[in-house]
Amino acid sequence: MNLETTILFILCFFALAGGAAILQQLIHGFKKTNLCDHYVWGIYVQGCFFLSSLAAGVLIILSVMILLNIKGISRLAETGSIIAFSLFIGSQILLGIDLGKPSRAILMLKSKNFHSPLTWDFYTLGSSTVLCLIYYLGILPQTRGAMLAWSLLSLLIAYLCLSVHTMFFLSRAKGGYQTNAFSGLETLLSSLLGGTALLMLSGIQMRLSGLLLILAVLLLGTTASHNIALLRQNHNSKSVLILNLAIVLLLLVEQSTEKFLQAGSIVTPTAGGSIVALTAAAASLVLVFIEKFNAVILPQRESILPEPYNQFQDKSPYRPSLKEINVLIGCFAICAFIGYGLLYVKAGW
Amino acid sequence: MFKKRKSTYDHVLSEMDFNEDVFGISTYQWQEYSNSDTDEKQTLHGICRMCMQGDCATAVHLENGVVVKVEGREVPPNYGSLCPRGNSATMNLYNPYRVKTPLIRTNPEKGLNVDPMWKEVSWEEALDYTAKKLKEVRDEDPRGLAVCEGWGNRETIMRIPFRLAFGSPNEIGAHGSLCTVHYGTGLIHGNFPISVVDLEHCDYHITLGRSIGPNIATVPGTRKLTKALKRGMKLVVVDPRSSYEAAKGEWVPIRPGTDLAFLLGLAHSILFDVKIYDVWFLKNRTNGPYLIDDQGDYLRDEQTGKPMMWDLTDGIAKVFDAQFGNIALEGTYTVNGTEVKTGFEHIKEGFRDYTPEWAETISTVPAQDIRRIAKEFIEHARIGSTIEIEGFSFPFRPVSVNTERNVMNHRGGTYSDLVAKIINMLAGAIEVPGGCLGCGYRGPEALAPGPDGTMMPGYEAKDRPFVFPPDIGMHSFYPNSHTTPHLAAHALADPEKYYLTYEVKAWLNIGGNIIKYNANPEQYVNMMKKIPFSVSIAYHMDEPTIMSDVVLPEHSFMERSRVAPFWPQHQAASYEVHALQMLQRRQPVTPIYNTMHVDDIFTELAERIGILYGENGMYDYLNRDVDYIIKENGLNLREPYLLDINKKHTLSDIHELQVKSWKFGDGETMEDLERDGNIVKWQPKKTAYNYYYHPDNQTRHEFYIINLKRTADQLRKNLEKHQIKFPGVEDDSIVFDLYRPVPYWVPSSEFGVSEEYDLWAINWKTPYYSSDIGGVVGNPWLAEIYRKDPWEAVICLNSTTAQRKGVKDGDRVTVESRYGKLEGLVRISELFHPDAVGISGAYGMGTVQSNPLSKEGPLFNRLLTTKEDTLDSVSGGIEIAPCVKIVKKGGLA
Amino acid sequence: MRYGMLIDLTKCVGCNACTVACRNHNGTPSGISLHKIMKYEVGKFPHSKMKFLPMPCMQCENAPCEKACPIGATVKKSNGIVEVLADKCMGCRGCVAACPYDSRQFVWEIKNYYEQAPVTLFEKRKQKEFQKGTVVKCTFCQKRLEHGLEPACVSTCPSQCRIFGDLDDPGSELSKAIAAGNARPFREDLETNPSVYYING
Repeated sequence: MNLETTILFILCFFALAGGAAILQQLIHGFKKTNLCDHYVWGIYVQGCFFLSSLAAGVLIILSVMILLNIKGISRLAETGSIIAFSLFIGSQILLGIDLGKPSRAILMLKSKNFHSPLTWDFYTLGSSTVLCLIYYLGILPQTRGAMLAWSLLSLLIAYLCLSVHTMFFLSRAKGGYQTNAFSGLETLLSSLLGGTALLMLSGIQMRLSGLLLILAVLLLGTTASHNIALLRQNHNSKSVLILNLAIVLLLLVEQSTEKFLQAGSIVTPTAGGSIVALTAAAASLVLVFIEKFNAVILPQRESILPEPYNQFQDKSPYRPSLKEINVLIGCFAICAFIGYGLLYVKAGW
Repeated sequence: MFKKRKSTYDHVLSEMDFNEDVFGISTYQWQEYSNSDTDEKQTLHGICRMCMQGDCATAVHLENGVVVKVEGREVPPNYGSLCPRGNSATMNLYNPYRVKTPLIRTNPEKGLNVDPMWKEVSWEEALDYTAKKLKEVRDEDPRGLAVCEGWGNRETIMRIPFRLAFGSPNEIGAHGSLCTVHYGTGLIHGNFPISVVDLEHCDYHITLGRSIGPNIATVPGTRKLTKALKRGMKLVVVDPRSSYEAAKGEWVPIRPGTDLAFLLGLAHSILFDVKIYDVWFLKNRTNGPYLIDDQGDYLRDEQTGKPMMWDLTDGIAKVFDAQFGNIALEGTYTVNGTEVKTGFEHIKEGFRDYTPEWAETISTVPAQDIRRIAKEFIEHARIGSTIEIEGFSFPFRPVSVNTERNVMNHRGGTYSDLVAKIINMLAGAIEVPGGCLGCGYRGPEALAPGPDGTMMPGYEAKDRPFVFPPDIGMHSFYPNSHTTPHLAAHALADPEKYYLTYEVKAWLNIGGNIIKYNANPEQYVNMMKKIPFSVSIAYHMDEPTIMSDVVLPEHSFMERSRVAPFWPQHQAASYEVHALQMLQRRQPVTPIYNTMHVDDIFTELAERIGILYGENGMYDYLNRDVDYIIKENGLNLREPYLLDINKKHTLSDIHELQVKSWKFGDGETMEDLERDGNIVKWQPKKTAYNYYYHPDNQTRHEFYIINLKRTADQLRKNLEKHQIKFPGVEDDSIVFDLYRPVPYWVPSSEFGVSEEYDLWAINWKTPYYSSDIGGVVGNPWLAEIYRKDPWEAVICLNSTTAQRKGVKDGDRVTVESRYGKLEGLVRISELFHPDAVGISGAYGMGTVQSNPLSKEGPLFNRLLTTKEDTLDSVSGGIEIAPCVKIVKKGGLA
Repeated sequence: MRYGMLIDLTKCVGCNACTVACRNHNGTPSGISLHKIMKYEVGKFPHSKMKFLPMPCMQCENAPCEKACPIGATVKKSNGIVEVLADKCMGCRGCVAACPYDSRQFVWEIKNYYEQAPVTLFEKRKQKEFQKGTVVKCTFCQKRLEHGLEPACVSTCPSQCRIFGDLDDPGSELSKAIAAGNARPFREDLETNPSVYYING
């Protein structure tokens, strides 16, 4: 058995373990989780946002590249579509098991309440998955027109998927907290950052660290400005800011030891990337994860009701239970298995 | 070896059937129970019993025999409302931690956390065994039985007849020593238990150390207070805590335990600053003008022996019921060569030094506030005005100052009670519309005058006879006390010191819990350990029950058939219930466990012991029983409806006869009561004010408290006669100091202690916890809310104090008095006086077999003591605001 | 016909009789209450006071929860009550996140009231009415309204601080009391147009 098959079997094992954890969650409900009235959404939803954000980022990068007619990206696109597909599946699994009655989810097709961000979520996740699958299966006609249509559609739907996730806590909206619903520049940038990082880590033979750097710098710009604008408020993204700075520095270090931005191409077809770049990429994934934590779980820490009514309400932090962590990791394992499996099949290993 | 028990009803264990090494094996495990088999929807008339008041009319809805809803009925006295506890009554019924079957102990070792290794027995066996043991005690010496009662079950009609037929004088009330609030009401109003305010008309009400309604969320008080506030009544709440009621009026923060100083300052201010008082009332309806001799007693006319007053017009002293031109209220006069003062003058002189400035140094209430309140009080009193109710003209005095346990439960507490009464008397606001009313009996006996022209002291103000040897409650030495479980505990621990010549060999517990809800729990645990036989008529496995030898499980209140008269209510009065005479009916829910009605238990025991029938039997005493509170207006058996004392009667038989005997009945029977749920007989509203029965100058209240002096004199005589010392104290001046006819400032035992104990712990009842009647602590519906309540079951500290002590919100601290300590989490709050440490309700303790909820939370009672030199000697009351220190866990504070 | 409620905060004493009456009538599982009272303090010693805010569901005209429900399980009925169709709800908790009054509760699990003991007879009947994994909320005691009774919280209140009635009828006791007391709803600025009004106290 060669290396790739071994990896596949290992991932299969973890995926099955993950599947068992997920089944347990579905059967026993929320008993062993730390979800409660104070924190109704925990790391399942956070994980869903995380995976879908990465997947959407990958999809956006791909569709932009196709739209801009960049050459030599077929391998990248293939890998990317597989990654995006598996992550979209993963995010929908997490979303599904977070439901009280998952079997009723399909009724969303009937009700069509487009006031609700969750409906948009449902549709955008679903259609993004389908779009990725279409690309992977190769059923798309190889014409320029079809590719353009596909990439335009993917771009819009993926972007919509991202922006919808900024709308969920308007009930807690006060001055300063993410009142930029649809623009959500931070969300977009972090998603792209994460997508790029993931592509780098997937071992494609392409140098993306320059792109990563640019995205990191832009993200730094928006986060920093956000922090400066809200100096007096205890804003969420301090840790994100610090991590972001670290990423930028790492990449700068990397770039300074290589040729900096070879003229005309941010993306260069050279070997994978240095350790430093890969570390930066891993850090980017962590950054996106923390950002999703800030988006989903931190807002719930504050009370829904304003002062002084919330004076004696519990303000303790949220700690996921062991079961929740198991399920989350299990889901990641399933994504990895699906992604790797599809690659395996495609590459005929 | 380890034995697995499947069903607890399947077999009865023989004695010592199981290995004592095995932990946790006991027959006492809760068990699944089955449905009753009625099939339809049903609504029963109910009477709530989740608090002391116990008169809210409820409708109990059942479906298929299961109670699905309990709600208020739109009838008096609650008119459809029900408090949080009343709404949670279903959980009192379906409580899996109830005792479900009679039990007999097999483990000789006793303790709160020792498994008694209960043996489940049939009722026959349990009753036979208990009766046998009690009969043995009776044959030896019937005084060997002590009956301990409490609010857990105040609905039994057989308890007192049983004990009297048994022949024991020893009844211990577990509840009263922390609520000794009855003397002033008994003396000034001839009433019981306490005095309330006429919220129908009152315009200015000062309340201290109590609840009118909202603080403990009782329906009658809350309803009436809300209406009074809407009408424009001004409420002044003097309290170390900014309570629910303080939120509806003016909060006057006060240092804990110093209310006597505040009241003295207030009285002083009325006398010396405002200088306006109800002279007519004082001259005609008090002993204020009575001349006092040099012994402190009334100056008596040589021929008639009657007390005398000074006539300013004629310039001589006359007997009180002579014709007067102008009665002298104040002043010093010479009679037969001796200088005598009036009673009023004594009081006035006695209060001369208690300036508001002086009061401020002790109580921290600003002197200007005391002066302002005194002025407002008198202004609102409308002295001289009258009101006509149903053609009768009453003096109209719409003010009242009322105090209860947090004021009275200190040394000097009785003085506080009386100073508040004196203040009301200065405004003339006693037993008249708008003013202070006794909350119980309405009728001519309350204010009926005696030979001295003053009303006869009633209830606890009336001295109990001096018996020697004393009963275990030491009532001979505390003739005006409320209940004295603490003194009984002292006496049983050291009988010689307390002149007890017999032993208590049997303890019957019905509704009381002296271990948890008193002070110094170890003292009572040790006491119970020494008593050879104890039986508990129990609802759940509480502290006294787990110490018992036999447990006789009784019905929960919803299962308890009852016919009750209406007792005027504890916190407030208004036209909603004024002059209401009413019988209420509780139709019982089918019992869900193998329990019995408490009165059936008493009947069965009495029959087996041989004290049920015949003269001086239980039925005979029941026939003679007269309602303690409302006397002839109660549900007393009368000719021709007395019980045949030689025949056995069911409870329904007795109810039938009671209804027919009822004074206000018009030929109604149980059938009418069963159908309607109540029989309502409104009397004329004017009869709700006891002034009506003895108007004008036909009776007098004690302004100069001669009754205290007389009691003390008699007590001293009795001690001398029997050549004994006052038991339990080193120097009996500590006792007699509190019996002076002119109240004066007495610091409680918790002042001037040391710098270390720089705070005072305070306690209060809450909307969830208003005494653990109905097992509220263990009720999950209430627990769900009280666990989230910011100020419940935590240690509340003022923010400045907390800062000084270096504690933060949520820190775990130990609160330590000189007598005990407790632990809990801190709550920082602005609602508390900086000197106060606030701990609400009474949580915690529990037993190894009790509801887990009963074990959570801080138990305030651990901080208290029962030592005689800390008690108020007149009422026997336990000190309720001990000085404490706060220690942060793992360091100093 | 638009059902509404007025709560007079000058009269409310924060006793929670309403909360327990709600449990009494609806039999909600352990840990779930369709009604709550927010208790807090205002002022600094010695001018501090307890304050209370009883909160049933506000039954908003412009309900955020209705908008947030992706499956149409939350509907606003013609009588003004916002209802959750328990058979449709998929338990996504979007409505719980969307409600600015914290009025909705998710049934995480159905526990017994007496935690370590078997289920009581009362619960055996009532637990059937609730589905684990769905959202529940106050519906002004719909079943009582059908019988012409007022919601449990209104009829039980010891201080009589609540009035219930038809907001659309200007002659109803409710509308008159709202006008007379200058009553306003809670968090008006959110424009949810609630049906519960408060007289400030």
